[in-house]
Amino acid sequence: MPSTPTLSPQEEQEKLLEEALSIVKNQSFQMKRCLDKGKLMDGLKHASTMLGELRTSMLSPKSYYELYMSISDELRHLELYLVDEFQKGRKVSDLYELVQYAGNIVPRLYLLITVGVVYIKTNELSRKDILKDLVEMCRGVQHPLRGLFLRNYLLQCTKNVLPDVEVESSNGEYEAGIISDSIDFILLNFSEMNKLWVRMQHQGHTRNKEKRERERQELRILVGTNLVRLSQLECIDMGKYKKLVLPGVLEQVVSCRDAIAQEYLMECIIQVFPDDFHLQTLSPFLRACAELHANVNVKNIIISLIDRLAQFAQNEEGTGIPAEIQLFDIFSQQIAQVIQNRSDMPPEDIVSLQVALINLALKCYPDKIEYVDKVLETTEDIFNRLNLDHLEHGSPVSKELMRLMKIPIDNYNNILTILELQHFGPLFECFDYQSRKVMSCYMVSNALENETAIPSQEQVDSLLSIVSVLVQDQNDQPEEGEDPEDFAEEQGIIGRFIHLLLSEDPNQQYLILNTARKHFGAGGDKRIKFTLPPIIFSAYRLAYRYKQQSDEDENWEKKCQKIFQFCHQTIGALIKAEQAEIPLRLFLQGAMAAGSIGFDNHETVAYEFMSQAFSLYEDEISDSKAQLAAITLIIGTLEQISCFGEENHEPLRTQCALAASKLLKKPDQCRGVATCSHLFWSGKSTAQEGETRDGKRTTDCLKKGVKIANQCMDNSVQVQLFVELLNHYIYYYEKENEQVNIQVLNQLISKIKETLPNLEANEETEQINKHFQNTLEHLQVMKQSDDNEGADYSELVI
Amino acid sequence: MAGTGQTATARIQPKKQTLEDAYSPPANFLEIDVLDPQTHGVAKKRYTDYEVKIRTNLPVFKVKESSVRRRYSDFEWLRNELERDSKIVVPPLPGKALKRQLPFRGDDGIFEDEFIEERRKGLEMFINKVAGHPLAQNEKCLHMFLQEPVIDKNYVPGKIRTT
Amino acid sequence: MSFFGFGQSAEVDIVLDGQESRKTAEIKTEEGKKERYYLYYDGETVSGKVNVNLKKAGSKMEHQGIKIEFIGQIELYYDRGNHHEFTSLVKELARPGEMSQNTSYNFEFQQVEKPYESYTGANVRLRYFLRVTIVKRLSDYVKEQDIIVHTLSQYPEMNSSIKMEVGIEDCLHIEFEYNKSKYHLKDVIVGKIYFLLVRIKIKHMEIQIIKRESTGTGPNTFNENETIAKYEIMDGAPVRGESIPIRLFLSGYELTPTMRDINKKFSVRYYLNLVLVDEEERRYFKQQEITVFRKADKQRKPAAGYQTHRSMMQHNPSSPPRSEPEQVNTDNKEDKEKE
Repeated sequence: MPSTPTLSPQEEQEKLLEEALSIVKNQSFQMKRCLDKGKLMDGLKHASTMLGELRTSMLSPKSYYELYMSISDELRHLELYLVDEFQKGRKVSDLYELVQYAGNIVPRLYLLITVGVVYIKTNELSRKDILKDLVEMCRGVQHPLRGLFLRNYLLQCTKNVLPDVEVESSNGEYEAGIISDSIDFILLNFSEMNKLWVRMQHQGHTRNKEKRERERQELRILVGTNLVRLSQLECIDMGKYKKLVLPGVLEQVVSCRDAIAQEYLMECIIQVFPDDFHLQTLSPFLRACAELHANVNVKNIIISLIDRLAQFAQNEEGTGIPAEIQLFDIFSQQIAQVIQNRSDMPPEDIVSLQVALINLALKCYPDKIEYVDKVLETTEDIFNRLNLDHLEHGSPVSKELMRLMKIPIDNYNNILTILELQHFGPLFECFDYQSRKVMSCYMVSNALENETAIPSQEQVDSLLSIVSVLVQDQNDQPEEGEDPEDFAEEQGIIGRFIHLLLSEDPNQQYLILNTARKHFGAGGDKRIKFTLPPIIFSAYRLAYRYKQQSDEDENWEKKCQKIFQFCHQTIGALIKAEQAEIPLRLFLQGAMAAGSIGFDNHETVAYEFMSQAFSLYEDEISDSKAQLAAITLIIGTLEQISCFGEENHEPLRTQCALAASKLLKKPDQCRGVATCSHLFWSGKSTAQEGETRDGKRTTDCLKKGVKIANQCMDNSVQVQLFVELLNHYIYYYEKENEQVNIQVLNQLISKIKETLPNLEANEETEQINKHFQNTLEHLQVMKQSDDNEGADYSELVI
Repeated sequence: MAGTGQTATARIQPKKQTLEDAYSPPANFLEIDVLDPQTHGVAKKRYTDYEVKIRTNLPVFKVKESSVRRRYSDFEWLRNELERDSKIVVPPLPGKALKRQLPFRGDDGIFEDEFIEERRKGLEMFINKVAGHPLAQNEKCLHMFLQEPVIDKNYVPGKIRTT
Repeated sequence: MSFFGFGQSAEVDIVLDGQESRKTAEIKTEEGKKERYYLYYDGETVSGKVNVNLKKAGSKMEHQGIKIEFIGQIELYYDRGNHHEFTSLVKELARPGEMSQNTSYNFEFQQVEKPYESYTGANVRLRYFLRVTIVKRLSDYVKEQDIIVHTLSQYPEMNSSIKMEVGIEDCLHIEFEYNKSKYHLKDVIVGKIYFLLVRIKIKHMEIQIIKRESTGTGPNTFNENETIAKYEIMDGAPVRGESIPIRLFLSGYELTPTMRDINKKFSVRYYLNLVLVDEEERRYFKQQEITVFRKADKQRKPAAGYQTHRSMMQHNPSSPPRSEPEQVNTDNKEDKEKE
């Protein structure tokens, strides 16, 4: 038995469609041939046979659509032919009646529409009557798919012939109709189509529900075309839209209780009608939104409307939002109503609505901060009502809330404005730890990018309270610590941010620093090393400012003392947190500041800070490299400070020299003492004007350095040290330290030249060599130059 | 032409449909699936039964969703009841396949999967036709067949009243 | 043509007065062929000339008299021998004698009553004709000439609409409305179907015009149903509250006026049959008689307002569905058997 190959549903459809299309092709060919020969009745018969193909129940909506398109093309030909004949005066009387003899309703109505439109175009019969008749007669097709296409054909055919005038124009016996006839026509067609479209959901087996939903989505444009057509009528002004069109459409949309239809049609209304119409009909539209089916994503509809209006408000050509329309209030109220009506609305959707609202407020009313705050307040209330807090990071609602709160930040680009929002902070508390952190970083980064200074203690206080997740430990923070690199980066940002806590008024600035100190001081050991130093630096800067403005403030010296006390304490806090290197540096910085500001008692303060640095050096710094670095800093600092009397300076420099010579490693000692030499040369004390210039003790230091270098076992290190020492010597030689003569230089050069070639060729050697060569080059230049004040290089041997 | 003009578009004004009616789900929902064939027993007592699942919004049915298991002979019983007692033209059942029930077949006879599937389709078509019939819908036997766990073949035939 | 045997033969020709201006009409023959004859109305005088032309010049024709009859008769096909003449008028044209040249005779049936319409049906024919008989000794010469009669009706005084609620209990309730109960032949039926309850899965709905020709009387009545028109008025399944418009132009179909009990021999009646078909191809129908008439040229306006007669649908489970007149019929066994 020959088995018939079973076709897949897809193939089956293709086959059916192909068959139908071939009949259409054949019949339309014959139709045209008859028309060409002037045999109208025969032509109509072929047209009717062709249209019979649209009676099928076998085709999927997609295939049916293709068939429909092909047939309506052919009918277009018939229509053109008839219009042409009618205009030539070759009328067929009673054609409108004749086509009604067709026995099957689907072909009959397609023909009736085609002929009806010809009548309208050629002024046969009354346009008003025909339009009414066509839209009424189409009731005969109750099959959803066939009815939808039939009525779409009606819409397509009548596209350019709908009456669009206010007043009846024709005065003959036939009425041409006016705009209200067109509105009635389309609204009736729309309601019938929507009904069929909704009813389609109930066709066929329950198991195919989803497929049907997909198919209905494919067909939605057919229904939406009604609204497009309405929007194309020029005589529909605001009044008619408000009174006739919108209520007529909304009535159907709300009553159909079908989510697919409602979602699409509401969106359609928004898109096809002009914005100024929407502005005048916000309340009815939004009221309708509140009545939509629970499955409708009403949020998207409202957001879509808001976005359009917000854009409209910003449109330069537009007139903006008319003052009498309380856009924000209306949306705010209606959205509240929607949310109230929908107890099952997911919180993220609620927030999304607030996002739209806040966008609206910002775009339409950029000056009204209170609107933004109102949105935040509403959101806060809703969260409280729903008992929502500690929103899990990454959850939809958390993401959405984050989006909501970033909007004012991004929009204002000024966190001071954010601080004016009463409900920003409280709402912040709804986030969980992770989200608070992300949001806080976002805020702080915004301030940094915009260099927003925070100019008052109160603002600093509230801001730091909001971003406290970055400032202090939190009750809800996770057990395991976070990635140290991330943490360092985050705290680095905070550190930078502290520099923005800045007031013009020094007294205010002092308060700010105290407040900041309070907040950051509670940050725990791991944070304060990032956060306290900038505060201290800021404090030092403040002291400088007092000094600058000393004329205006007679109490400036006391205030400076207080600042240094504050700094001392604050550094102390760092020391308690087992920090040493940073406090050491901060002390040094403080000593320098105190030294140069020169307020009452400043020498004592500077000495105290220096000795604090020393004791940290001695007690806390054990690593040799760190020690070298620290002592170098101490020496450098001391070299810079000029406020000490000899009784203070002498022990300090001696202590430096001692400490340098006591360094753990020989090379370190060598370098230490060499550096120390400068204290005796360019160091300053109040004992004399200017630099110390103690040539003897300076060279003692260098000699000691040479001695230590000689003790070095490693040739390479030794040569390196010699080169460095040579440079020190050259420096002093050029500064005319009498203790340094050209022989010393020659000796060192020859010593280096002797040793250098013996070094193993490697990168280090290469570097040493380079250093040495550079030095020689310098000397060479100096030697050849005539103009060497004091420094006589004539006897130099290179 | 004027005269034709009037009659060519003459209509009786339609009654306005309420929005409620326009958008209510159709009141004719009735869907019966015959599915999940299972073969039980051995030898002479071997038989296949099917799940008969009905979903409807017709008030005549007591329960809007129900499911029972029925075998071919139950369908035959229903058909006979309807044939005997009403004026309904009862559609035929899928064939009894007597040939398949002869001994010494190489295959599983009426218990072949293909045959069962074929029969399932036939029974589904049959029961949908019957249950959709306005007169059959009033017959007690139909309701017992569709919605009672067990068919009481000694029932008193009669009509169901929708209240 | 006639056969005269030996001797003179003649040709008879009936020429009606005013023939040139008289309207003609078509009628079917028994075989279904269409023929065209002159058209007369009730009460019109039928007059004209009978020309008897001799075939052989110079030869005489002997006859027993010449007469012309006006006959209206009903022929039942199953009773061939018996024609029922309901009208028979005779005029003598010539007394017995000899005719030696072509002769013309005027005749006139004044204001003849023609009570019925000419009709050709499935089992019966009603015809009018003139018959000229030249009575001969052996076989008469007979010449017949058919005419067609149309009966005209004034626009009926009462022409109420037909409006009725029908249904199957708990399954289907509809209300149908036809704008009139009496339609002229070129009329248009305007109506609507309103759905009150739809619990069946309707696929489509059509309206049919059924012509029922009844012949005979009492137990010997033969009914012949013919579906003159099948007109789809709805595609798909409606829901409650739906109104489906009907507009059916009668001029597209071959109708005759309704004839009721014509001379106690036959009737021709018309019914509108509303048919709903469900997805299982079950048919639900309701027939309603309408009167078809031939409109006189002048018409009067129809009486305003519709009369509604609403009939309650009974539920009487024990009685067969067709026993209630207002119940929609389903294709139960009885109907099936008839089909």
